Amino acid sequence: MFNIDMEGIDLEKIYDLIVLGGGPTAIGCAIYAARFAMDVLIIGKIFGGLIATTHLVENYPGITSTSGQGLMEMFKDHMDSLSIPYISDEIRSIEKIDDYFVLHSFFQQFKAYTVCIATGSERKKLGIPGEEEFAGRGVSYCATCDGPFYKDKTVCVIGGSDSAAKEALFLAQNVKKVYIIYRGEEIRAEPINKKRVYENDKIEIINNTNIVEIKGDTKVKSVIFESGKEFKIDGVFIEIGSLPNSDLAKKLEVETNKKGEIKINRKSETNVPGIFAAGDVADAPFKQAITGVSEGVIAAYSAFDYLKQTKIEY
Amino acid sequence: MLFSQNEIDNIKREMSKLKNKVILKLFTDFKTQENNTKVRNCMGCEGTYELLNKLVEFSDGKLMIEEYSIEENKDEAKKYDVKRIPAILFVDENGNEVIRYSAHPTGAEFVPFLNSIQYFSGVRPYYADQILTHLKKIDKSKMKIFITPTCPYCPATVPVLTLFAIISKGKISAEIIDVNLNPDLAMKYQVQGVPHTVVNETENIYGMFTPQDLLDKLTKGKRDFGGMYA
Repeated sequence: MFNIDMEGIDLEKIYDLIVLGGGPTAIGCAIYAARFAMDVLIIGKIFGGLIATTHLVENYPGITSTSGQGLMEMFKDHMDSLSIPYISDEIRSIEKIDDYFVLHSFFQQFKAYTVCIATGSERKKLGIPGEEEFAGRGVSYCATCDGPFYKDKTVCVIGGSDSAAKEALFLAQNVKKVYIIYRGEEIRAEPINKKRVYENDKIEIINNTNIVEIKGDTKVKSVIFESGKEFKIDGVFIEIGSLPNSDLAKKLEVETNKKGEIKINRKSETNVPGIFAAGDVADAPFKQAITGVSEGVIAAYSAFDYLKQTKIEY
Repeated sequence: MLFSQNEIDNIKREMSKLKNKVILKLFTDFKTQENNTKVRNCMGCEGTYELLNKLVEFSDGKLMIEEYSIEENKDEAKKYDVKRIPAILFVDENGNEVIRYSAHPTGAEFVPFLNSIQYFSGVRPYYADQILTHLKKIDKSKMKIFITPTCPYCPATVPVLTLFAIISKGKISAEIIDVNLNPDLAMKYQVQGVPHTVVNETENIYGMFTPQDLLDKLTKGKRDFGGMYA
């Protein structure tokens, strides 16, 4: 449960650290910052981040199996126990004034000596005809949200990642048939999930195939393969990876790589002093909730260390 | 047990923030028995009744529930055009409906519901000023949002609508519809994903949106940035 009003939020105060993001990385960072007795505030667009859309998390040590939402509930409880304030808003720009940063949202502005960008990533789109037109009418990016609408129907998952495999496994619980349509030779899921996919009678993999169009009338009816073949389908779940939410960082001249990910070092520092980054928005090659939390925690420590060096009273 | 001890502590803390008294109208299908007990048969009715009464218990007298049966209190049901149960109505001091929950606000929907009660009690919402600034440019609107208790994006979207409804004092009304309890409505509005919002029965918004997005939609792009980014 969050601050829904401005109670506990002092707009005049310069926070020691403002963490941007609502996922595990941001929360992990804030928990450590609070324990370092820093004045910390989290500003997130969606609490839970992308992992909240995952139906199954089985690789977070200490938690054998839970849903993405379940995991974030636990994070929320932990955050609440430290009275960390959370605001649901989106920061549009950051500027440096003297020794602090001013963060502008559409509605307010906030001040902080250090900022951790943990804004995560968002689902990549296919960019093909019909995708936008049928969004919410047969095209989905979230099986947890929309899977139940396809009971006893035939759907496809586009993509070959571990996330795509998990989406297919979740959908198979309700639908008649799931096709995984993948452009590559063999899906790249974690072996444990790959095995589950292969053993599931309701799931069929169509390899070496791209789709070039989604067709329908009031809702999706079919997809068109690159070969020109029309394939009848009731729903299309797109799971082809994600793009880092790093526009904000770029505006601040924070260095990014070719993928748009923020470049960080082992201390989660960016090239801009006082600005840290962590999680899916940063340039680690392997992105998981736990690796994001790790980078977030390191960012909190580095911000603490930075304040000790730059602020006399620290 | 409805809530864990940890949840109870959190709810008590949040309920202590209520400023003014809030009365919610709950519509169920209760039938009064000979021994004066009430029996509720509809799916979600008993659960919703229990949930609201737990909140009343934690509210220190700030929250009150008026329960009506669509069987036994037909006039009240007719007055508010309640045909679906359970329904929770947020009604202002003039008797005008501001928010309707055609839903059993559990799971991920519980926190946004609690937030609505807080706003309705006079807790000043975070976005209040900007919405008030633009209210003149917004036509009277009816919003329906379709949700499921497991949808991760719905809890971030529902409060946007309820916030607009409360700040606009019902000029923008909001109805939260649980697809699981109202599959026929979902079919009627061709809902194939959640959140799915219907504006004035004509326009659809698919997926999540922010207060900024909704302001753009309702002011038809004539949003005044107030100089913040000028």
